Amino acid sequence: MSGEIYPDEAQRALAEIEQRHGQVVGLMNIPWWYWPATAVLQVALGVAVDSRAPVVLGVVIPVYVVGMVVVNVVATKGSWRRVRPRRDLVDPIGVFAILGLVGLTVGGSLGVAFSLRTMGVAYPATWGVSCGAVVLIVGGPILNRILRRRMLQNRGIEG
Amino acid sequence: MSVKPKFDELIHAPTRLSIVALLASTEWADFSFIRDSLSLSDSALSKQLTTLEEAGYIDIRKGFVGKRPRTSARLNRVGRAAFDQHVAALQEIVALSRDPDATRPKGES
Repeated sequence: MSGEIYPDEAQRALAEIEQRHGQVVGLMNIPWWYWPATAVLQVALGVAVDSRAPVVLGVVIPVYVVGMVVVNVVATKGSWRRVRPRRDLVDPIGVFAILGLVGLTVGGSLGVAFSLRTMGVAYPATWGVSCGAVVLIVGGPILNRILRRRMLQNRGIEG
Repeated sequence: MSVKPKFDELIHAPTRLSIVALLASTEWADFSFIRDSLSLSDSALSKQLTTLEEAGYIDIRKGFVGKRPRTSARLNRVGRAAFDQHVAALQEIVALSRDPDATRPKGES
């Protein structure tokens, strides 16, 4: 049966399959503004913690929580409601990349903040989360690229 | 585990190939998403989905979101296996055109 198919037709069919796969992978792209928006919210939280003022904390913490929810909902809206990409498109390397960025951001923030506090530097939480924010802003787009490349390579086809 | 190449006429038809390729990367996809992605009419997509369902390749789920009817489709295990085999067959055709010895067993002339 396949003997009746010319190689160029097979090539076109494979290209079509790749294109449709890329279309689904494209839906999983995290928008560029997600990283700076998250970073700004984190810095605001750090500043509030350093202020030690209950009123400031009482305002900033709810704003932070609502802001994070809104940012995440908006970033994943649209086509995600109409389609669910396969979970295994993100392979173990992609998962490691995600965990790496989270670990670097949280670990970096806490590490810097506690180190500065031990050294008696003023506003340690603000400096700590600012470092984490820089990691997010720089690392987020890199994570995006890694995930996109991994998902495009991983069609989930055995063999 | 390697996939045994098997060309599938039913999947290879252009519109169905696009539908199956789209579904292969998803857990499930809404009828409207497939229709919009492939620029198909409702009736054309319905016809193709019915063909794929009758072949046992996809499952169609009908439900409601609020009062609005919602139809979604997913490639089932049989369909995914057939798609994987079809892709392997296409890859084999391309590989053979580049190197006719590519898939011959070693020692065979």
